[in-house]
Amino acid sequence: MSDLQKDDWHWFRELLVPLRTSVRSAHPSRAVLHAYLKGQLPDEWRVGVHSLDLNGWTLTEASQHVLTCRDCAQQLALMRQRELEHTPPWRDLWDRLPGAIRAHVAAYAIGLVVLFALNAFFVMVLPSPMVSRSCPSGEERARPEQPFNSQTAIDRNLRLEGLNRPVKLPDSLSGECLPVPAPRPLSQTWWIGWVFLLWTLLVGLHILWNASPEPRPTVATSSVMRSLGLVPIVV
Amino acid sequence: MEYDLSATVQQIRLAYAEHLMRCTDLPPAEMEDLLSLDGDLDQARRWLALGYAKRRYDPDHVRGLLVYLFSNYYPSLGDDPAKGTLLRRAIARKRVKLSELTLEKISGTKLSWEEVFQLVRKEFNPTRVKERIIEIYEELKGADHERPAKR
Repeated sequence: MSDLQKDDWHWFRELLVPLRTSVRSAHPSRAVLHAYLKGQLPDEWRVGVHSLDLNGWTLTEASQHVLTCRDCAQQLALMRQRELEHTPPWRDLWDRLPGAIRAHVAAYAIGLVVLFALNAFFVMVLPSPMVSRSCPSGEERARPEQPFNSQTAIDRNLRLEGLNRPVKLPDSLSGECLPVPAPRPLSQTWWIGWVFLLWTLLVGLHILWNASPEPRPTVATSSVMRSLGLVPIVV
Repeated sequence: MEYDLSATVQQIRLAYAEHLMRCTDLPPAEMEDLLSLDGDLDQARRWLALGYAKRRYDPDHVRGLLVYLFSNYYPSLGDDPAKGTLLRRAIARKRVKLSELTLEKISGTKLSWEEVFQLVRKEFNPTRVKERIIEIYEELKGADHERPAKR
């Protein structure tokens, strides 16, 4: 091995001669610096030539100018500090979660919203199924009255009691053959509640599994302790 | 304004490094004359070795090595603590690409190798990459020594 390879970082550090001047002596505007931070400046090879375009900065020109200009570097540092301060704190918490948990929680949130909308459509927009009762045939209608039953007569009197106007009777008593609502099928019930409970349980299990220092399923005590942690989630 | 050739060549070399990092670099054969405008052939050979290594081996390894180098060894002008925090956050969120970075954006951020691997999205052996670059440099040096003898 040569001497160069023994001290290879020294070899690389010798490449980094700090810039003394930048390609462009004029300062970039605030808008240019903002575009530079956002990575919106064009990435072109234009070094070693003096640009005639005073407003058009390339990514490298802006970078090299800031590396040599203390004022612009300070301005950029202020812009970055402001950006940092305007970041909401929940973003930090979210970022600390492992990628798999973040993906699961995101899928959980999106999935629940979509399923809730679908469930609401089934329940509130789709009409509930109706069942038409069998109408009494002509013979049944023409059938003579039942023999006098004092109890039925009392019931009828109760229904009409004190009112000298016709009473709206329920379909079952009125003798008309109108369709009646049938029990809703499973798809038209609020099944999202069950989905929510089950999926929340799964997300909770996933988080607990990741939170444990090392997944050791063979240790009986640790799995018992872990399952205790699920109690609040189940509740 | 007085024209400073050595300053211009240094701008060219660092611009070449930036373009290598963003993968928008010109072929090393085209860069040879520009990189050695000031007559410093040794310095030009070093940059060319990086360019050839990027084309000969996995380009992301050379790009990652450059990020580490500029992040840890290039002096940053002034104090900008938010720069490192924002860059680390962007790396963790996978919201930053090598193609958007500049020397200024990484200088003084002191990234670790783990963060560089996250940025490059692959792991590699930095020592092996450095050895390969130095090998190419030795090749270029040997070729330059042979050239005048042939003439």
